[in-house]
Amino acid sequence: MNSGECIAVLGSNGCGKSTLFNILYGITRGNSGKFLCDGTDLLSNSKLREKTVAYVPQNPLLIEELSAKDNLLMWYTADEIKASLSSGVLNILGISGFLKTPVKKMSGGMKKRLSIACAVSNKPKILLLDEPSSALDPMCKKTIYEYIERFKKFGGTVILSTHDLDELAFCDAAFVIKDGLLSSFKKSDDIDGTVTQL
Amino acid sequence: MIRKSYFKANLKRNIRLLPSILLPVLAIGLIFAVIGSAAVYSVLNSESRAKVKLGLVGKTEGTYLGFGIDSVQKYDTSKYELTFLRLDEETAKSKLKKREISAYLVVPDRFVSDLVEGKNPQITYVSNKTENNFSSEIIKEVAAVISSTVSPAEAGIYSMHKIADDNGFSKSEIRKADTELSLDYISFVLNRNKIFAPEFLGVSDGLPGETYYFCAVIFFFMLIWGIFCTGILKTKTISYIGYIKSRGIGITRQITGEYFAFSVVSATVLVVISVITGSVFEHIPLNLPGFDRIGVSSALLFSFKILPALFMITAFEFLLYELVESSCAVIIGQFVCAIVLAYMAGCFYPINFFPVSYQKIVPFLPFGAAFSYIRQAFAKNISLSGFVAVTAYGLAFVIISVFARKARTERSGR
Repeated sequence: MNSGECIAVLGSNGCGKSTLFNILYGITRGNSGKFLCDGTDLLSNSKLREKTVAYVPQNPLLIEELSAKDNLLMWYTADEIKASLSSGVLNILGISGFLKTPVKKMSGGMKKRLSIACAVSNKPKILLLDEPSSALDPMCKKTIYEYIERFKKFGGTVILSTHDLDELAFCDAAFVIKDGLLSSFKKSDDIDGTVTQL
Repeated sequence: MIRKSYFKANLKRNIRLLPSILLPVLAIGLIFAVIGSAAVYSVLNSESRAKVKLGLVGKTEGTYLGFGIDSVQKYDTSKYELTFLRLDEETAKSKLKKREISAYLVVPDRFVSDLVEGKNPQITYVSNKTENNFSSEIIKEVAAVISSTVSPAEAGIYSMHKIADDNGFSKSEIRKADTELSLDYISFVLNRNKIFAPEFLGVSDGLPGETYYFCAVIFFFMLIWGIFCTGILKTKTISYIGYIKSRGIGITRQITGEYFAFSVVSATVLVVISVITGSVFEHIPLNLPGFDRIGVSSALLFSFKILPALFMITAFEFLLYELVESSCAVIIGQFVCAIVLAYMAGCFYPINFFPVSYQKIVPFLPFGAAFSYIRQAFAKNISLSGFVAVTAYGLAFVIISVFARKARTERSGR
C-alpha cells in the first residue's frame, strides 16, 4: 500500500476482520506474520506502532461517565483541544457540538466521531477503522467520510472493514476474508457482486 | 509509573460516581455509628451489662472471706461482670452442667480454722474444660484474686486475733487493731481494680474494651466499604484494557492510575464521614475511655492518621475486583472476606481470646496489622513497624493487582 491509499477488508460476520485489526494494532497476538511500514515491522516495535497507527474499534472504547472533553483530555492537552476545535480534526468531526455531553448520553454517531477524534491524537500515518459507519445516520456517515478523504489527502493510509458498499467508493482496493484466507481485488473487479454474496 | 491524564480521567469518573455511592455509604455509616455508639454506651453503662454468674460453695457467711467477697460484689469493678450465688455443691454441679452458672468456687469447710492454724487451704475452681472465653477469663481472675488477696488478708486478720488473745491484749486494743486491719483489708480489696481494669477484655494497644470495639466498628466498615464502590471498582473490559495498553498506557500505569483515583475518593469519603460523625458527637457526647472528647477536629485528625490503613484496605478491595470479574460474585466474595478477615483480625472477638500462637502471628497478617494500626492511631501510639506493615501490604496488593490484570490479558491472548 502507498500513502494516501485506502483499502477495505470485507467478509461475513465472524470471519475475523476485527481480529485482524486487533492483531495489527497489537491488542491481540497473532501466530505469525508482519505488519511492515517503511520496512519496519510494527508488530514487534510497539513504540513505533503507537506513533504510527491509530485504531478506531467497532464499539467505541470511551469512559462512559465522562464528557467528550474529559475523554479527549486523556489523549490531548487542553491547548491542543482548543486549537483542534477551531481548525483541526475536532472541528472536522463536529465535536464542539457535544463537547460537554457525557458519553452515556451520546448517540452512536457522536460516540463514533469522538472515538475517531481520540484515536487520531497521535497524528498517525495509518488509520485502522473497524466498520466506521455501521448503524449511523447519513449525516454522521458523511462527516466521517469527509474526514477519511481529508486524512488520505494529507498522505494517510486507511484500512477499513465494512459491509457498506458506499464506503467502497473511496477505497483503492479491497480484500475479502473467507474461510480464513485473504484474497485481493482491484476496484475494477466485481467487488459489488462479491459483497452481495457475502 | 503513573500517567497523569489517565489518573485524572479516572478521578473525574470516580467523582462523578461519588454521589450515587455516597448516599448508601452514609446510610450504612450511620447504621454502623448507631450500632457502635449503642455498644459503647451499653458497655459504659456497666450496670446493665450481662453478668457472669459464679457459684460459691462452702460456708463463707460471717467470715472475713464472706466479707471480702461481698466487698468485691459491692464495690469492685468486677461487680459489673460478676454475680456470686451461694450454692451447695450438688446444685452448683447441676447448674454448671446446664450452663446456668459459668463456674463455681469451692471453699473448704475448714477454710477459716486452717487459716487460723497457719495452714494454706486451697479454694477449688470448677468450670467446663472446653470453655475458653471471656467469662472464664474473668472467673479465673476472680479466683486468683480470692486466692492471692482475700485469703492471705483473712489469714492475717485471724492470726492477729490469735496473737492478741495469746498475749492478753485488751478488748479495746484488739477492736482498734481489728478496725485498722479491716480498713486496710477493704482498701486492699478495692484497690485491686487497678489490677483488674487493664486486664478486662484482654484488649491490646492500651485500649479499654469499649474503645477497642469502637475501632472494630470503624475497621469493619472500611472492610465492607468496597461493596458500595462496585460502580467505581468494577474492572474495565478486556477490550478497553488491551486498547489503551496498545495506546501506551501499560498495565502498571492503568492499575496505579485507577488505584490512586479510588484511594483519593475513599479518603474523601472517610473525611466526610469523620466530619459528620464528629459533628454528631459534639452534640451527643460520647466519651470513650482513653480518648479526648470526640468532636470534628479530633475525628478529622483520627481520619488522617488512619489513612495508611485505609489505603491498604482499598488496595485489597481493588485486588478483589481485579481477581473476580463478575460484579455479583465479587460483592458476595467481598462480604464473606470482610466477615472472615474481621474475625481473624480480632474485630468481633478480642484477639487475646485466641490461642497464644495465633496472637503472635496476627500482627503480621495484613488485616491484623491494619486493625492494630487503627487501634494504635486511636491510642495515639502509632508504631513505625505498624506503619511499615500496612504500607508494605498495601503496596503488595497493588503489585498483585498488576500481575492479576497482566494474567487476564495473557489469558485472552492480548
